[in-house]
Amino acid sequence: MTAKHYFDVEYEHLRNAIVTMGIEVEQHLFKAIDAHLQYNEALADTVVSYDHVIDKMEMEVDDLCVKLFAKLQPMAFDLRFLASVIKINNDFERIGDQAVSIARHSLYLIPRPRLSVDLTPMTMLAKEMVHHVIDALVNNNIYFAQDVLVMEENMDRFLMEYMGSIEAIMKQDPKNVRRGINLLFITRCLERIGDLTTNVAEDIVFYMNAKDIRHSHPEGEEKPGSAG
Amino acid sequence: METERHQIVTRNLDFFYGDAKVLHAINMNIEALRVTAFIGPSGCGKTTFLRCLNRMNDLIKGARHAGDIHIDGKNIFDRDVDVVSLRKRVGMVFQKSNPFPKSVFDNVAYGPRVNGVTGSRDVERIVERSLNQAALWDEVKDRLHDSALGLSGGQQQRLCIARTLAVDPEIILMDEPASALDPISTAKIEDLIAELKQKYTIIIVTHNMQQAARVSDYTAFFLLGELIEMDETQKMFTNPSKKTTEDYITGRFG
Ligand SMILES: Nc1ncnc2c1ncn2[C@@H]1O[C@H](COP(=O)(O)OP(=O)(O)OP(=O)(O)O)[C@@H](O)[C@H]1O
Ligand SMILES: [Mg+2]
Repeated sequence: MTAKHYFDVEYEHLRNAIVTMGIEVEQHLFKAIDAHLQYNEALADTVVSYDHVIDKMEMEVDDLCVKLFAKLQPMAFDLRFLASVIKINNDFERIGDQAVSIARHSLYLIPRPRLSVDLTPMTMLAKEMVHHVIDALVNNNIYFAQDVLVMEENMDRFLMEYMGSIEAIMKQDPKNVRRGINLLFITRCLERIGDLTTNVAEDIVFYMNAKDIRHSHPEGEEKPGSAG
Repeated sequence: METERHQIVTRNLDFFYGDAKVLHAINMNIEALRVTAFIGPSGCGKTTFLRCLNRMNDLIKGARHAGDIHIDGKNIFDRDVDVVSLRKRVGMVFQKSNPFPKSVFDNVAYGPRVNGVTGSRDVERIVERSLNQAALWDEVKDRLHDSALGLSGGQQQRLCIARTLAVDPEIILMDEPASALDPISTAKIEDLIAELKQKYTIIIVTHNMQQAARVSDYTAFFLLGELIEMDETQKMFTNPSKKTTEDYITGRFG
């Protein structure tokens, strides 16, 4: 590409909008996780009440995509990018929803005595995945995106491990059951966040080199393409 | 690789206007009963290449070629090729239609008459069939004997397509057939192309990327007299192999 064209400004604007959305969701998630780990009721409340801001951003990015489809009638990279942004936007919004769920379940737990289950390692992985995928998006970097696909496997392992230990605690004493279920829900949210982040990573790889890597193994012999 | 399905095959086709070489070693295989679109910036040689395919360029003084074009397995530059029958088999529709200043009927009947169809019943049948194929019959059936110049631009373009169809070609070359038409007439031409490809091999030059994407099965991208890339249209417009193609179709060229 030699010159900068008027429509590059529009794509740049969209790129900024989706990155802003991602960063906003990331903050939202980090707050939810911190609220849970620190048993901070006020923080959990902010997360729940902030959700509508994210919903509004999602609609704005969506509108922008539709407008650009009509106006620019994109081809090749632009087409793949625009189609991917629509999906990424939706996945970000759903990560935001998971953050709200984490905050809600934490609001049940916070006034009650802690069970001896520490979700810190799993929450750290979720944070790292989300951060990494935003980095991939900002830098159009498929290597970062591919890292996310590998991390996702650890997420599944965490889910199984926590299910086992939470189940054991619930068996010890029926009074633990309600809190145990809330904890289980939170691990389930974290695992969903892993899935959604993986979707985003796959979309980044797709628009970067147009290879559809969904439903294929992450450690496959993907070679980065040259398009873009 | 050239296969059975390839009706038109060019090998190292060069073309010169005087000293100026405007086509450089074009190797292309075109499939039968498919729509192939040619795209590329103005002056890159699309029209020249198209006109080579039915030897329309023979008429230009100082023009010459090197290399071969095979159609249905036969080199069209062979001495024993009859150019008139070649042009009958390989029909052409131009950018700006130019009906004769005659009636709608006579415009379509002209070709078959020249080709020796004499019975008036036969001529009438061909005219009706061709106008029908060109999706124009309903609009002109009550004014067949009015001047063709009274038709709208979009109708004139379809009349020219009917004229081409009337001589029963196998291959239809269309040079920017919808570039001067409004969206409704353009859509009619595009519908027509989709219809016609069941019976004819179609090559269309267009500057409209969306049109190429909509109507064609294969797309060839030319630049400065060279064939840069040719592939399935769906591939060309979602993920072309060459960066120049990408730059051109996304409008980032130059
Ligand atoms: N009759 C002619 N005599 C000399 N040069 C010609 C003639 N016709 C075309 N050319 C030159 O040959 C080159 C290719 O022209 P051609 O008309 O094939 O391009 P094109 O791709 O069809 O362009 P456009 O998109 O503008 O129709 C151009 O440099 C043009 O100036
Ligand atoms: Mg031309």
